[in-house]
Amino acid sequence: MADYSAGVTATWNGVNFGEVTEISVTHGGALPLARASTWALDIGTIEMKCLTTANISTANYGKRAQVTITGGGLAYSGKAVLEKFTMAGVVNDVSRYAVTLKVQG
Amino acid sequence: MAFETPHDGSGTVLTWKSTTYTVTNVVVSMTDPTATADKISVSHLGQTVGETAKTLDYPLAGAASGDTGQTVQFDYIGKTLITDKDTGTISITIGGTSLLSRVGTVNSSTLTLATQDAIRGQATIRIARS
Repeated sequence: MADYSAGVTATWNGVNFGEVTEISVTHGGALPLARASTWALDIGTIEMKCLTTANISTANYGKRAQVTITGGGLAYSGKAVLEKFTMAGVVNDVSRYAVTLKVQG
Repeated sequence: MAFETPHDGSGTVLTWKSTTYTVTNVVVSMTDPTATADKISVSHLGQTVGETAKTLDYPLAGAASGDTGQTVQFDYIGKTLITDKDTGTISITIGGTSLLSRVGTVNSSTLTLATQDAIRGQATIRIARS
């Protein structure tokens, strides 16, 4: 049975993302190298869109930390590096934020 | 006003600027122009099933459009071309009982001349709120 995307919690670097409106997790992107099953040039990407500051500081750029996503049928845990942080102000709308994490083994 | 039901619309008399039109169809619309359901959705994945969706009002107020939200649209048979932006009084009576009598301004108007048919017109009058 399908799960509602509700009651979802997303954490990176020990802090919850706030008011997350979208989560997209892609695990994998390139085949593992040689005989290793966990070593690849691209292990995956996690993208999150939020309505608050996403609890991300630009000082964390490039930082590798634990990411955990639970609830709503979503379950993911692993290490990820902060790759990109985007914030956008739009006329007659709320401010919106987006974070891209790169999965690391 | 109270009308005996059912009422089929016959005996309806529409007068625009003191001219009575041979109307075939009349639509009176009443809409509250200040009522708006538009809001910013700020619902998020952290909310639980059954929780009320979160919304916020838009930060900017809408510009006044001059829309009263009330219009009378009617189809008629005749050669009279109703001029846009014209202002006057529109009155509708049903079986001798007044439905409305208001000042209005022509929002749009068309006159159709076609082969094998009567000359037909249509007009939409934006009426002032009472």
